Amino acid sequence: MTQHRRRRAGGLFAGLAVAGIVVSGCAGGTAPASPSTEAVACDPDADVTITVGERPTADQAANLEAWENAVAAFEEAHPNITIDDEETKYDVATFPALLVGGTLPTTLQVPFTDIQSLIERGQAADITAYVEDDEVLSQLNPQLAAVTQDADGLTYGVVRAAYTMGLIYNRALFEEAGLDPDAPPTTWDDVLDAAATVSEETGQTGFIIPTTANTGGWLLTSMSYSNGDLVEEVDGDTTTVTLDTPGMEASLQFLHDVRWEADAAGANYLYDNNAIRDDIAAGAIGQSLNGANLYNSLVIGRGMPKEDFGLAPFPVGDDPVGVLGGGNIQWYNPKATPDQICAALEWTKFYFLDRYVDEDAATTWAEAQVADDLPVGLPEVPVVSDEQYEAYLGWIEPYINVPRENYTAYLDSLATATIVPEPAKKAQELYAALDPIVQAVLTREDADFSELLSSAETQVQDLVDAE
Amino acid sequence: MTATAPPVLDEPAVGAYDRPGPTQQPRPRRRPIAAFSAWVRAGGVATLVMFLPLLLTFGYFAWWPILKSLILAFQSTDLINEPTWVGLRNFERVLADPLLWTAAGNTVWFAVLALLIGFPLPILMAMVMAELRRTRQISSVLVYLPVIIPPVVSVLLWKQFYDPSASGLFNTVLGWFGLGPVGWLQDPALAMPSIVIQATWATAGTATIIYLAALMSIQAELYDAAEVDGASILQRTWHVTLPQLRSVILLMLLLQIIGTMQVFTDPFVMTGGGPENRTVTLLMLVYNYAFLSGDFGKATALSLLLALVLSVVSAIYLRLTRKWSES
Repeated sequence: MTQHRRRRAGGLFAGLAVAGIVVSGCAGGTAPASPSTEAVACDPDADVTITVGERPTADQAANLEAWENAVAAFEEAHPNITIDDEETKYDVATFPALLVGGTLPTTLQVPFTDIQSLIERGQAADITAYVEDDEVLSQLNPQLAAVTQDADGLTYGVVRAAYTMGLIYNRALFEEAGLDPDAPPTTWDDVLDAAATVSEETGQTGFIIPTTANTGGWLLTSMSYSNGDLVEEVDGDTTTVTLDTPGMEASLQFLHDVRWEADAAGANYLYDNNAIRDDIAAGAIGQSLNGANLYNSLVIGRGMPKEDFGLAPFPVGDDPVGVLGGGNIQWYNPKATPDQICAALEWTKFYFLDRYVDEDAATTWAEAQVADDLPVGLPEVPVVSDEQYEAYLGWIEPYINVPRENYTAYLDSLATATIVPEPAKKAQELYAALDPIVQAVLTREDADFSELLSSAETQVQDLVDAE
Repeated sequence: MTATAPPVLDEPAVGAYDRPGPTQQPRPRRRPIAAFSAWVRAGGVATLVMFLPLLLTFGYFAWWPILKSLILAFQSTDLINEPTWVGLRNFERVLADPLLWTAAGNTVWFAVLALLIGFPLPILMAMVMAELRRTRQISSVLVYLPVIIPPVVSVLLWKQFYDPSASGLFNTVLGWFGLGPVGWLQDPALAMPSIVIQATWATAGTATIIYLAALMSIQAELYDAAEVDGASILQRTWHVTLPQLRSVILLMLLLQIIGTMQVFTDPFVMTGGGPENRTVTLLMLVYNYAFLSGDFGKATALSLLLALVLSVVSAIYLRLTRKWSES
């Protein structure tokens, strides 16, 4: 009998072990500190130590040297602040464990896509009181500042670099197909025509987007914006999910037509955001949608010739409501003390924003980038005023090493772009619900758009209401 | 329980010593201090000291997180403030998720396919290899080779093989016969079987080696006797080999069921759960709850549910197979 009890206990233990697998990395941390999200005045002269992430790795020698010099200069200018720097970067899979363990830096960069989720979960510090009266931080591009705010207008981060979603295209494939790479498509009909031409003339995929790990939903949401419909309506405390809309249907119809009418979507409909970059860089895809910062990933990371990288404004449909933004937001640890947060904001201004307002900082940064073969002059949405940004461009002009003339249409579009933030509630869950719809349209010719969208709408609405 | 209790012969040896038999006299009860002294003299302290690092390591890195995760299943936490008790709310939310039943169905489908495709194959391979004399060692190496490839590398390798374009490896082969191209991972009906084939390739080596070791331990006299009785190869396999392997087969089957119900890496890397959620598994759902939604309460609740289901399945399996494994 004992033997059998042992066997059953073994089975139970094996089963329970499953439960431990997922949370073992985060369940053993220290007890959470008391919340520090309430606005408390900080003492700018208090002795304080902060931890900052994203120290350049050793392979970026010039950037690392510039970073170390900047840390030394900062500490000299702020003798009461000590910086412990580390290479930690934001990673959605390790962030919770580091947060519970209390080992996250005081400040870290997070992407646009994740800030609203962090705000919603109370995992970002409320910095409203520290930025509203700050001379530099309160003057940043107000369109971008909205991305870091919750529904009540409280601020939870500082945008330090920004871009919009765009049409990524391969200029070499366009030329090979007889298309003018300097006149990229501007509407969805243009994109469809170009996709058909690229596919017919070169044998490569004319147009495709990633469809897994929430990227399909993310891009479909962007398309819906350009076709006139938001995906959530917020009225006070009530959020209504709106997926079964004409804008969504038009977006799905476009994907359907690329796949089934033009036969220009290639053969892979399960790209993730890494695999599709491999194929874009390899010249196997004519057009795709993504953040305008893809230059780094394609040209620097994957060796795509920089002359081939094409970037155009996000295509527009009927009555676009704007374009989804992207970029880097400086996040502040909600476990940090007010003095630490104020010190971290000083560091943010010093290292990430001063180059837009200080010529020496701009040229020092640009020199380090060039020395490490990293890009200078990438197209971006100015985080400061247009005038100030023009001055900044003038300072770094001798160092610009990307062909900005290839992005003329995109750069021109930024002046009038209306940047729309991520959905405020359950953004990742919403994207997850849309992923299979994008996959369905690309794999089933008879996919019923309305039925799929209606089902996803109910699913996400239930999640929003369950809060 | 008592009606089907095993005969006394099956009781473990230690239990037999503890129980006074008909000819044994009851042990005189020792005083606690004397018992402690005897334990120390017998090297108990040294044993404990040597055991302590293991105990602490497992306790801190395995058992404590498991206990914490059990607690977390009944709490709501933002990982910043003190968690709040929510009773069964996390379980209700998990059970209300329409994707749960899709993921459960997919997981069971994976397990069934893995049983059909992946379970008999190692037994067959081991039987063939057992017949080899000169090349058994090299075949063992070749069969085991895929196991030493890191799982993610193996999955990515097969993802290349399954390239849906006409120039993909498998589609090129099909093309030689005027077939295809096939969307191995793009076709909702083919995606899961394709993943199972890859998983079988990646893991069959371990099972094969275990079966081979078990086969090698079967006494040759049994086969000789069967041959003398005029048994054919199939009869020898059915009446000698399989009965001799049964305890190993039953154990491997249970381990495979538990393992396949926890499948994660293969569909996560290969399809991301697509197309149309056809390859989303329960552990992928746990991952999504925890790391995409940041909802650790739901993630641990689903983990606990899975653990309970596996425990019940294991118990039923052991009950059903007990008689066979002991006969």
